[in-house]
Amino acid sequence: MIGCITLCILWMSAPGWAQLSGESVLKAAFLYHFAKFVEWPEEALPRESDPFTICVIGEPRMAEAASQFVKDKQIHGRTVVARAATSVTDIEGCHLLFVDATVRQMEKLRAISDSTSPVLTVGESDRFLSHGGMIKLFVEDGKLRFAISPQAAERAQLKISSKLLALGKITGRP
Amino acid sequence: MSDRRRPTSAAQCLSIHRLAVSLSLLAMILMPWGGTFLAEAGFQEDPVDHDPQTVSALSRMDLEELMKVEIVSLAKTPRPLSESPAAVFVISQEDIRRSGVTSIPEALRMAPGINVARVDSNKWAITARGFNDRYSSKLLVMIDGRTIYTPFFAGVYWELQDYALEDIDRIEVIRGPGGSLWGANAVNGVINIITKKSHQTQGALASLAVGSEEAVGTVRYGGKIGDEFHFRVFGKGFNRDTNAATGGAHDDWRAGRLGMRADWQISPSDTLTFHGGYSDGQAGDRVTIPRLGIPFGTQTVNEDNYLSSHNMLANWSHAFSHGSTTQLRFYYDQYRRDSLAIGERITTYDVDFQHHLPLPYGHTVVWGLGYRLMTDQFRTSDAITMARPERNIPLYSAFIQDEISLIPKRLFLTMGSKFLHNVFTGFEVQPSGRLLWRATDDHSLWLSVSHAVRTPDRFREDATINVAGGPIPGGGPISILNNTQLRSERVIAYELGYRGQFTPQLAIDLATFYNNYDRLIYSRRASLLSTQHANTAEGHTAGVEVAAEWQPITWWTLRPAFTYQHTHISGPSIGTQPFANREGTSPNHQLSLQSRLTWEQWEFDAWYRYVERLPTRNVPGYHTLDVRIGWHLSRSLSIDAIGQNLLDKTHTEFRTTSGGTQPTDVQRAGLVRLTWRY
Repeated sequence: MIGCITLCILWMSAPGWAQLSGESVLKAAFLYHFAKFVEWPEEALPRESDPFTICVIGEPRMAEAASQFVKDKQIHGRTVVARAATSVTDIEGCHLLFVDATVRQMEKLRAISDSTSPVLTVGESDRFLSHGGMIKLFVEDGKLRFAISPQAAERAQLKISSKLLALGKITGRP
Repeated sequence: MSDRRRPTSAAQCLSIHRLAVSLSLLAMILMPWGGTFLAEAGFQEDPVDHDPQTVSALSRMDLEELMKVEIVSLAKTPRPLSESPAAVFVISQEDIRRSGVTSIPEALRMAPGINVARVDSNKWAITARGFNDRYSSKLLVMIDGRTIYTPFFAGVYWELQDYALEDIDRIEVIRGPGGSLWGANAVNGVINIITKKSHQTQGALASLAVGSEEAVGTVRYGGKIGDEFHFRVFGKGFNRDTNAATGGAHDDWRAGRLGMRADWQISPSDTLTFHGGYSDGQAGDRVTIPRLGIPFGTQTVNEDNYLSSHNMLANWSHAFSHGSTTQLRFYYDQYRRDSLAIGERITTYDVDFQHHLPLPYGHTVVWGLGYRLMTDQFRTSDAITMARPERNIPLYSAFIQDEISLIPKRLFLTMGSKFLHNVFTGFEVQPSGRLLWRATDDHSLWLSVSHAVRTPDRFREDATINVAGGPIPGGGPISILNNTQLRSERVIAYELGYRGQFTPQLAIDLATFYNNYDRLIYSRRASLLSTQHANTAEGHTAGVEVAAEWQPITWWTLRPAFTYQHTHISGPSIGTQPFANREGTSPNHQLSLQSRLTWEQWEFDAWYRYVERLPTRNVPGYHTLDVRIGWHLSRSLSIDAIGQNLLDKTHTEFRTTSGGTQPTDVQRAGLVRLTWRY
């Protein structure tokens, strides 16, 4: 299956797309901070020993960047791991799901956003929030910005801190 | 297999056999861990580059600080190549691996618009957009920024070029004039071979491919000193059998190569990169050379060309806090090639400076300066004489390019020019203008107009070729004379391209071109028995190149590529040979279709190619098929079984008279490859 993913990913990144590595690390840093400003329900992290898991769908370099960034870091007192996920159906054990700009399969994303599992979804596509995503990352004036849909997070029993809401743009889902 | 095998290759086969046995033992030992190896993605690739400095710098920032970081200051390239307003095709490491090729020239067959024809076992004729020949001269080829075409005839000795294929990151193939950024001789295209950074190739790798036509072994080790200094060293050796030819071939080929790369992050904003390489080899040739004594005429002899090269490159890049970057590069390169007809020793020293500068109001300027000194020494023969057997040839160059974002994220205009001063024709200007319109995120159109030149080279300037001993006693040989009055070949190229992502599963890249040439260097009659290089021809080429990628199901990808091109050149006829004979050196139609199936740890790949006939060279068209079955036994071990040219026993790809080389036929081949990473 993972071979498949690699293939899909290679496909989705236009031939030879060289994802800028610095940019990937910057995005990984954002993901890390988002996780720190969000509270998960207890059933999402039942045991102290469970690692906090970040799953990445899209460019393999992004998963790799996230993995390097979270090494030796902690979120909510737990060790952090980042891994590549094949698709939105392969998010067992994920606490944060990042769907990068190379992924366009919104139908699938809508399927999980309709469920109420406590997964913080972060994405880059233009229509991410209107498809039920929680945080959208985007570039403005050459800098990374984000927009939040608090309703989507609430439905998944996630509590977003007011500090994060203050830094991001808030949009309501229609 | 051919009719001839040497004792040396048999001995090598034996030692390779021994290595294969120990590798298969190793495979059995590693088997028990096979079950869990797929737990991490990217198992078939080396870890990807993420600058540890960036990670630690960003780790110290809180979210508010992170929101102030400018993305462009982190990026080396402002935009991915696949979005540039030019006909670009990128051959990735995955493409190289899954195509089953064992050399760089064979990998280039994947790119649309490129014609690759194997002349014999160790020689290739490769071109972009027409004018193919073993000595084709309108293509610029670089490995990590080092130009690898020889200043002798401005073409590439492909038999001198190689690398550990596993450590190549990608090959960027740019068709059309790359003059404004890359300089002279990028008239019809630029091929940029880019190797992986050292921290992407940490650990050991050994690969061994053994088959009916060749045995290739590669060993690499990558390590680090501290967190800021990464390096790798590799060794590669191969032995290739002869192709097929009536009356026997003499084109077997063996070579060894050592290489290294080191990347040193001196500070968060400074990187030093070193590359070094050494190679030594022997390539057989059956060559026709003139006989100037009685009986006059020609003679055909078997010979072994001796090939060796060494090179060194250092690159320093610096990033300023305001977002601009500079690059200073120096390289030294020497190659030797000894054949009966000529002995060459050419040394190149090159220094380049580049400054990449984002400016307000949507401008991004790149400018640079370069100086190159080529010194050569030739041993001449009855076949080739040089007016000056030793010469120093300096080359000065400068370029400037401005990319203007006319409508942010949607409309971009790129204008620039390269300026150069060379000893043969003096000052040359090569301007170009390009427009990119991203109509939507998924569809973009681009067009360009550019002017480029191909400057005369040392060969056409100074070398006289004796083709055959003359039939008239005292009349001298039949020869092709040098010409010191040559002017640059010129082209004005018009290009129009489109890229579209129709669904997440289907992407298409289309490029069309019309190139108008004048002052093309062919020949004119100089005396009864001799002709001379001269700017006698003009003409045009036009064509369409399409590449697509379609993924009907998640585990199946199809990659078709189609090329149509048409050449029309006119010039004076020479004797009884009409000029039109010069046109048919590149096929009008080429088709390539790659299919890739991935199932668990298995990969099933097939690659069909069709190349149309070359009428004036009497080369029939051919269909061929390569297949590959790959099996990832464990995270560290994979086995490939590869079949090449399966549709026929042998086929001819090219015939050339230049160099007097006997063309030979490509054979059906089978190959098993073991790759081990640790």
